[in-house]
Amino acid sequence: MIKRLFPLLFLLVFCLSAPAHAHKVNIFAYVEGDTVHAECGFSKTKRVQGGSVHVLDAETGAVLLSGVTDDNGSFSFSIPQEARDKKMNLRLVLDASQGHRSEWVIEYSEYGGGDEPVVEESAAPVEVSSLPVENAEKLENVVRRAVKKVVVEEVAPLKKMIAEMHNEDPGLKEVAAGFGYLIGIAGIIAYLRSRKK
Amino acid sequence: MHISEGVLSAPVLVSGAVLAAGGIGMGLKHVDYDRIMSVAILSAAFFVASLVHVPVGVSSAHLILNGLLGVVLGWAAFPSIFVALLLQAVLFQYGGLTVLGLNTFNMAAPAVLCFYLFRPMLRRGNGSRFAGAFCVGFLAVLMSTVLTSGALALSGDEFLPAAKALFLVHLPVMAIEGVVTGFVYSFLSRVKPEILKGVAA
Repeated sequence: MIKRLFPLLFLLVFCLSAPAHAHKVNIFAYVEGDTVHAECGFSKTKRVQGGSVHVLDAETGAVLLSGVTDDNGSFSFSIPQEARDKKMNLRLVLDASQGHRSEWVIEYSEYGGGDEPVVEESAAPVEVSSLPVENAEKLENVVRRAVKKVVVEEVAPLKKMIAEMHNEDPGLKEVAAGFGYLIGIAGIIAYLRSRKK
Repeated sequence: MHISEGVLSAPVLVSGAVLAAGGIGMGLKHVDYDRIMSVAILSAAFFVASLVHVPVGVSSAHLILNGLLGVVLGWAAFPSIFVALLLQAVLFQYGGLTVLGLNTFNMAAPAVLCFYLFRPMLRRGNGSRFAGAFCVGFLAVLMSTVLTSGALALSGDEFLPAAKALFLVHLPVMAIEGVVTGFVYSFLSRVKPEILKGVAA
């Protein structure tokens, strides 16, 4: 019987080599400047289109704002001043209908680490060469801002990459693990039964 | 058709878990422990079926195969589906641990119900055997969409739109599963009828 069912199983495993989309839903969000980008997908290629995203205060659960994802499953919003003032952790809840829901938390430390929003600062560039050398404190501030801006730009693609990895479909590893567990469980039950006899 | 964590209200989750526990208990009583491997293999089939995706317009659905498990295993479909869903939750992050009970009930209860409804048909000759198995495969998925939208409705979603959406998305899945269940059942009853003891008895 086991031998006879194996062709069926192989058929199923073969179907896996085709891109498999299934119904898990994912949300991954990251901060860039004073904007939060949320990436929502069922899988890497199958994005959540028109899913609603609610941004809540993680402590009280009060809804700060809501929005809808675009065709690429992205949704961006600028961090509300209220959240900044109250040092809220933001909880993003994605509702993709038909019982599909996922959450992501952005802590205050992720966006509120600096004294002010980075992007706004860069709007007013300061001529470094015009600064008197003795004004070291000021110079340090300028350098810090510049570096921060560059780091944000450099890290952005990495954050995107992590977002994509977060949406990875289950692969052969997980499937093999599942088969292993099932055979293992059956084996244990069979063994326990045989000892009883 | 996995419902994610955090969607359903606590009473729905608890009643789902209780119902599933009852079903699993019945299942464990009915399992033929000499054929535990075939239970495991059908579990494995259910486990990977969720990765086989059926495109439906802009949306997509995956195979479920709960009817097939029902027709071969009867009550044992409950524990079999439970373990497969547990592995899907842990390894694929489909569904979740708190909704495990309700998801199990939504998938397994239609399987068992269809098994009893169509058992007379399954016992008869070749033609009606295929037809019976087709109906089990088809209706089990259909009933699962109804149960799932029912659970969502009890937690706030509107029943009819949710049920309609789930039904439409799963129509091709129902057709495919009907055919698959029909062929697998006919095949098994020809080459290995003793595995279908539950039906023949």
